[in-house]
Amino acid sequence: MRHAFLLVLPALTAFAQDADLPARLARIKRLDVEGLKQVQASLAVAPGTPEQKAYFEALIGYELVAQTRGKDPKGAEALLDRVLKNLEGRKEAESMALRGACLGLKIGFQPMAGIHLAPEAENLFVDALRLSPGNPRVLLFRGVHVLHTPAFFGGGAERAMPLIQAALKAAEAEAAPSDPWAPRWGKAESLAWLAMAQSDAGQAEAARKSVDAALALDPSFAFAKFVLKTKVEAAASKAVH
Amino acid sequence: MLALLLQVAMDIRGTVLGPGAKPLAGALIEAGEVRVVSDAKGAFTLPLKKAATVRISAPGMEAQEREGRPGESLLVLLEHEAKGATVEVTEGSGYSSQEGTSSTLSRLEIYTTPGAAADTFQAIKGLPGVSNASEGAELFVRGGKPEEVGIYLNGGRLARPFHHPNTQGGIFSTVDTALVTKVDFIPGGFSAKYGDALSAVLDVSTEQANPVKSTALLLMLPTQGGSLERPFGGGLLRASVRRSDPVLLDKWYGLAPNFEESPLSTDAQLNWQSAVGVTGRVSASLLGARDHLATEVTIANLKDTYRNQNHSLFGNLHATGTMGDAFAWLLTASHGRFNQDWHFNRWGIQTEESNTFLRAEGAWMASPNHTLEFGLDRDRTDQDPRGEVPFDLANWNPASQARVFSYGFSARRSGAYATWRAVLSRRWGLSLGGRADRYELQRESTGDLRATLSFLVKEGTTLRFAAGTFHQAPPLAQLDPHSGNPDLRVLKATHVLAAFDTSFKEGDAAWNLRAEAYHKSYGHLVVEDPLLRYVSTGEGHAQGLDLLVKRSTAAWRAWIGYGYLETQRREGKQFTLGPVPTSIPHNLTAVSTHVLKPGLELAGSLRYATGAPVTPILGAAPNPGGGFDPIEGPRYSGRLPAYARADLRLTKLMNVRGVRTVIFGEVMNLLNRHNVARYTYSPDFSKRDIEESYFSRRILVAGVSLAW
Repeated sequence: MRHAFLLVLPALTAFAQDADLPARLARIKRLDVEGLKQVQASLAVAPGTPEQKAYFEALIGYELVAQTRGKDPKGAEALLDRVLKNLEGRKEAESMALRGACLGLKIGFQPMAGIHLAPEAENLFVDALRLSPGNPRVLLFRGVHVLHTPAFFGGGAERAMPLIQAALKAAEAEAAPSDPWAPRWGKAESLAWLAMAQSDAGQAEAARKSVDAALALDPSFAFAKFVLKTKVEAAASKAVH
Repeated sequence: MLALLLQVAMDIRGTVLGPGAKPLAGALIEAGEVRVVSDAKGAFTLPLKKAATVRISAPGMEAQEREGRPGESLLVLLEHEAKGATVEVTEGSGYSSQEGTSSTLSRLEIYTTPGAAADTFQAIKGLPGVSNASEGAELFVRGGKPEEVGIYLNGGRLARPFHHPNTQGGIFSTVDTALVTKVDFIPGGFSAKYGDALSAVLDVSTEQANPVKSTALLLMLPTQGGSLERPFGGGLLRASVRRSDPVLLDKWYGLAPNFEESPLSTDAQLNWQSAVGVTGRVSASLLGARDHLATEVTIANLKDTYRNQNHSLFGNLHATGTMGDAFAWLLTASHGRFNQDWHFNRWGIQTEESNTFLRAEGAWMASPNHTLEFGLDRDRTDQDPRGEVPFDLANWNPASQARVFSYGFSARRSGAYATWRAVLSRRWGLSLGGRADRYELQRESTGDLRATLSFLVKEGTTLRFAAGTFHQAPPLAQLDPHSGNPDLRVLKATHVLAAFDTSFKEGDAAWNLRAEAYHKSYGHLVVEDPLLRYVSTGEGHAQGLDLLVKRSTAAWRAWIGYGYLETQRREGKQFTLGPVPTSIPHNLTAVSTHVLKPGLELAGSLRYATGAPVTPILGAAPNPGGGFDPIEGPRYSGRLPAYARADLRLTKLMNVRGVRTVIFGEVMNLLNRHNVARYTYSPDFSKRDIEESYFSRRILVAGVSLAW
């Protein structure tokens, strides 16, 4: 009896965590690596069809790549290739935009491949917006892509800000979806990336306000808390001096 | 029971899942010295009472590290190990400064290698296969001569890349490293896109993919310069200017006692680049350089001041773009002008040279595994020498009979090339290319086939086998219809190489090991001829082994490059197959950089090379002109003493009110070794003396660079 209890306990605990899985899926882009791996495992055991889970598995993969590429570039690139393969051929707007964002990461690994990956990513964003006009996540991914594109190639903070601001407005206006498997993230993330763009554009005070607003929505937003806050405060301090 | 529950609650527990979210039995769970294995349901319990980093691994699965806390449950999903990188299909086995996995010689290393003076070409001399035997920046690659290296800047052909080209091989290059963003150096088996090059290719780019508004100043002896990067005209402007005047160094250290005017040089570089649409880009580059010197020399029977002035100007237009998702195009047009003016008493030659290079290239990505690159290129070189030299080159007496000349001639080449790159499987890759060229001055057509087979042994470890033929026109001076022979054949070389390259991590150290064996054979080399001045009856071969070992940690970067070379040629004055000045069997470079504390680095380098072959002078015989003619021993049967030099550099990096400041002090030739550049003789050849290399004294230089 005692042994049976011990065997069942971990599984019970795991399913107990699943009770808040939709909320955790909505926070994927705000999690650190540890949190991403936890939600990845939880998603794997959660009830749901592979089709329903595919977007979130890819989104977790995207975030893992973004957060581990500095420490483990080879592993991150291999994971990114898997994510890209899984997203291949998917025709819904959310997945297409995510694939576009993944291609942006791929260009970071292989700058020379940008010559054909950049237009492919841009086409995906355009098609995704055509399918789902005003989708905050599509707008945000496109804005982040433009932010990371050198000004020389038509990117940069100034060009990215209108897109990210549009994403923020769309996220604020978006109603909560009835489908539990529908993506429901965007507001805090848009605020964080707006702060990043504002900081890059030298708007230190606006950036500080944006990052504070993002943290007010989610105080444990890892990227905003550990990366952005430091960057924005450093920029603000420099501006004062 | 309560005690048991408390015990369970205080352990680190979890479940390991495999593909398909199925429980994974037999996974190894480790935290420090504590190890357990997951059971049939994937469950595990680590008897730990405090938080710890837990490593979860299983054969064929990608390991994970997670933070485990007593009382909390870990749910771990292991996935199949990534298949790893696919083989990279490329040509030959080159070195790249591109940051990332393919980086062999990083930009930081170019800047901080002691003794390389932050010069790209000087830093490349540290790679195996490139001779260290001279202090110039010219590249002697695997027994080849410097003119056998094709040098490109932003896609355009840079024919005259050196300051003071007549002094010990050009001391430094005219390309400011401050603007350089990428360097590809391919010492053999290079792509079919590179025509008219026999030994190697150096492809330098100043195109900036990640622009940063910046300004930098460099103040040191003997070079001062500045560079900036700014948005301009809807694009990005990058500019640099440098001036080098070693007069103080010469005075302090007596570097060149026979210089009457120090070798002064200046160069300026402009590069403007702009995006066109989403993927198109256009760039324009301008590189201007000038230098002059005056030195006392003896030529034959006349001792006097030799004055030399060089001006060069290079302009380049480069555009790339895409059509659809699968086709990329590239257009390059470059034009260079070079003026050289030397005087020696009443004698002298002024040479005007211009080079035009055009390239149109397309790349069709037929599928992710198949790419076809194809293009056309054309170059034209015009040379207009004029001046007067002694009719008898053994008698430079100003009163002697003169040969006065003024004429012009040109050489043109047109080529077409194609390279198919295929990923045959995850491990095998093939590059198959060919090119055809028409050399109009020689009225000769050539064809080349080049292939590289790549095999990915495992991730980070690649074997490459390459073979191909290469052609190049002889130097213009030898084709000169008045002082050379325009009927010379096009030089030919065949390269065969096998290369092993592995990169891996061991603890916090990144390792890169490379070994490359090669064999080259040459045909139609140019041999001096008493009647025709030059003939194409030469031949030769070169074979050797290049080794590179590189280790990098956060606190210590070190690399050793060694090249063994055996080469013989029938060329120039060497009338039988035998050693030539490039026959230098051993070359070694070792560089070690230690981070003493954050921002403070101590670096040392050691260069060694077997001495260059020289022809011994056995005696002299009086000649009818009252002078002496040397009695030479077997051609190139002697050698200069071995070349060796150690340099030490201390670098302090700091940030002063937002200004990135680098202060450095460098001791060049730490051991004060008097390296020999060449032997000189008394007029009757009875006494041999040595001419020391330029850096043949211990020299202390210091400088500061500021960037904001």
